[in-house]
Amino acid sequence: MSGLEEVAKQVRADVLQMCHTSHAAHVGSSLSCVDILVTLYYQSARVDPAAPTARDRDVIIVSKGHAAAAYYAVLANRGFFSRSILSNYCQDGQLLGGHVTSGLIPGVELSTGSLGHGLPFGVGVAIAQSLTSGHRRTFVLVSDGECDEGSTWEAALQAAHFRLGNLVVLIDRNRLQSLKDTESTMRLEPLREKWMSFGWEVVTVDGHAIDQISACLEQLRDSTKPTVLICETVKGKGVSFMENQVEWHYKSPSSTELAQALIEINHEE
Amino acid sequence: MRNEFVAALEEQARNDERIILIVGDLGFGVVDSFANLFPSQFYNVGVAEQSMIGIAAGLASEGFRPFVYSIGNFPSMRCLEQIRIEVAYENSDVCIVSVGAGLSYGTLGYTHHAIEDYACMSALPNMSIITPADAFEAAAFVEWHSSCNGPKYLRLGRGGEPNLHTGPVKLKEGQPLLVYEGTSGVVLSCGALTSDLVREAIEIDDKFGNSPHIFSCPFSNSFDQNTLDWIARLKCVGVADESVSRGGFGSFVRERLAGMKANTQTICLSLNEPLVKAVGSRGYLLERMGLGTSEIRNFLLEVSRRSIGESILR
Repeated sequence: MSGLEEVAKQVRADVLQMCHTSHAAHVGSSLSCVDILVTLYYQSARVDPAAPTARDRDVIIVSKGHAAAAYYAVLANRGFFSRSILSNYCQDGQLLGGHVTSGLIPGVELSTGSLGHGLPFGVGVAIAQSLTSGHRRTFVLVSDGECDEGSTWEAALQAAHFRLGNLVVLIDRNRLQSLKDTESTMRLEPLREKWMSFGWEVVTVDGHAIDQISACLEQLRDSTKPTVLICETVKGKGVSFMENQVEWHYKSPSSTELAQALIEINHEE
Repeated sequence: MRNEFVAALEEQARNDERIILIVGDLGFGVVDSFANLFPSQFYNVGVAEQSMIGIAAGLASEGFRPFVYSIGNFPSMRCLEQIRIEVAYENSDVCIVSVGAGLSYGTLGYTHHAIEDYACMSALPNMSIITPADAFEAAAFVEWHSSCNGPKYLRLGRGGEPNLHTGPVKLKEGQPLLVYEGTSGVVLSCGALTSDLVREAIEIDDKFGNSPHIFSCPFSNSFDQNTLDWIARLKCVGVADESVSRGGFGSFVRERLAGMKANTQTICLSLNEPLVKAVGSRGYLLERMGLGTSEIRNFLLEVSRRSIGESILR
């Protein structure tokens, strides 16, 4: 255990509270990628909250911009900005919107929310890194539904063609998208083979096992190919009545649901 | 003008490693020299315009100065949302180059005619639209770009346009350039159509001696304050562009004048609507779609007639 599980619990609690207070959607999508983001920001990526635009930083792009609550909660807990700002999520005139918006708070590399934008941008960043430094990495978190987007596959071709070994894609493979499960919406499987055939190094990991994600990212540090981690996750992870329920792509928890959810989060081993 | 543009870009790239040329698998015979001279500053990303814009924005976020090169609507309308999010709103230092402005690609058909791109780009924040009228202006753009960051959309002719200037020019943001000295009235134009206007203006002056002055507006969605004040003092101004009228260069001028509550009459010359799916060369299509010789002549004479006795001193 890395000790980061406690951080992840705090982030989940923040996400639930934020979505409850602001009546915001996408709580399920946020809960599914918390452990991936915590791994990146606390362990695997070189980031410095005191110098969020440092020239030697690794770049993390959250392409699934609807997971803004999780992203913002991780940034705040990591120290990029005050946790007190989280309580203003989606409030008029404040800094944190329902989709990731750059330029308002430190740490956000790109505005996202329209899917399929993060990976092409990440390819550009990774090319730039390869031209200027041999050590920096680019991480792009994409949703599995986002693999429906043609622009994602354009970038998948390009990253392999340009041999961007410093580029890592993490797919939040929670298997649920906007209306129903990914396979009956638009079949993605065999997803692993698809990425492999595009020329990527592909590893499947438990997307809630911080140590596993972290070890994998370390192992792949010197890859000569771009890498994709298919992170097997559960949408709504940590809250029994939200897990694998498509409605929690939209609903925000009531007071009673929030209280129950927080109990479950805090008692989870 | 595309060859002169690329030649000027080569000179910039020689001294500035931040210049990156990205092409969407286009530019045969045009970008080869750049690719050979600066292989580490050249990327062909394939036939993939959406990601091409994303890649350029990613490079710009790291301090590079990418140029994205493609033709017609491919680097504009095909990837409009990428331009909106990654380039315009992020105020990225990306220059999008579209070769084949207007009806340049004639017989290749309407899939290749860039006649609504101006309207799309002008709706985006931070976006400078630059439409050179000849090769000197295209080359001067590269020089201007070297000291000016931010999103840019450069509309180039296909090549072979006549020169309107007699030698190198210098661009100043928001300022039109006089390309034909007439007698009565002012016409603002941009792009390759400008040379068609000049050709007809010469004819008019030969016969009647009363053609308007013609100005090229390479900065085709911005005027500096002096220029605006000057236009607002005119009785009449003619505005011409090889685009659709709605949201085109003429709309831009009219909006600016309306915002100033100016009394200047505007006469706009643009493509007739409804648009037609006609087959033919640029010249044929201009005749077919409202920008033919007689329309241009009537337009110039009308501007001249309404401006009689007016000084156009700026």
